Amino acid sequence: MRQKSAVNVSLPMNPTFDDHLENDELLKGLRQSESQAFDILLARFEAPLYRFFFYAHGRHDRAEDECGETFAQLVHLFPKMRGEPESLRSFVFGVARNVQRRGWRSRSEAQLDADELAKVPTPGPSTFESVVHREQVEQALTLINQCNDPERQVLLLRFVEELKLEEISVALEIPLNTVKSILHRSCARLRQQMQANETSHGSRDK
Amino acid sequence: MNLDGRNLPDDPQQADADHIADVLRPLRELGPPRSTQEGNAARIAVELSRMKPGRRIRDRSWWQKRVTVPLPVAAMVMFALVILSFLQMWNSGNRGHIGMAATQENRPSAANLPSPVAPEISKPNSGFVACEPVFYQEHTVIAGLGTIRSIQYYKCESEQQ
Repeated sequence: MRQKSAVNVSLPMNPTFDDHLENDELLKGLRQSESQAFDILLARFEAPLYRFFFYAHGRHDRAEDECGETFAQLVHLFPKMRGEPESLRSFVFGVARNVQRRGWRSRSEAQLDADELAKVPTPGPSTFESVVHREQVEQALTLINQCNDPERQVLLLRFVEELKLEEISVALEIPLNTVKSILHRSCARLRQQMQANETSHGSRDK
Repeated sequence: MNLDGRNLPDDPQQADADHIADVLRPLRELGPPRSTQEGNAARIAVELSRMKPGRRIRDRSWWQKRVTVPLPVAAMVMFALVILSFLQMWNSGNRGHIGMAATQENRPSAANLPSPVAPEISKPNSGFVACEPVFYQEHTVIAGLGTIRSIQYYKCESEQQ
């Protein structure tokens, strides 16, 4: 749900606040609904959340809406949040996962491709438009497309957002051992597929 | 990258994880476009402005705070107050004749006499009629509610009576 607003917005492009605020101070500010704390939250989590949503379905407009919805929910949920400052990332991604799950039924099975990524509006030239990156990106997207949730979510959170296994476990509400087994299984499977693809490409080239 | 935080270079699972991490690394370069950033900041600003009245209530001093009372309790208290005030008004207007179950006029014993200062007794030879102060106590009682009015007074009773 997109919400248009006439509120003046100052983007945290040149933040005057301490961007390296510790998690406990940040969490204190977020619990007290301080706008500066939310500026920091935006700076830290905007890109990871956008990626989390975008790579789930490959649609920019939808990822944008889900991102906004997640931040809106976070504003109301932080005052009630119980937990240590270390659980901030898992809390944020947990809320994102719930937002994503709510739209699960209406989701069409969109597949990611590099063309769709190139359509994402950016201020400058898109990273994905560069020829050097395009091959790598296509390979990564092919890899992600071969996975279903929660496998895809676990892989993205682990290798793209660099969350700890415990954080992934909390965020996705999956037991830690299950997260480990998903990672081991999917890594082994994807590696085998990549090797098989390489050999088939190699034999074709010959 | 380590799969579960361990550094095991010879572990085949670890090698798989490292390879997958390398392949997925370019996906980190995607960031939200400017329109998304503006939308997110606006959304947060709107939600924060909605939150502020709640915060003000929480920060109020104790005399400004409110408590919630169940509606039946509030209604009963209101009803009781209305009845009591009505009875009080009626009582003062009609000298307690309404709903009066009994009016007692009793003459207490000397031991129970309260301390109020008795009026001076006129001297017999001063030309005034000599009288004796008598203590009276009147109670208006409503059955079920108890005493709703009590009057104590001295009355001068002449010896001739």
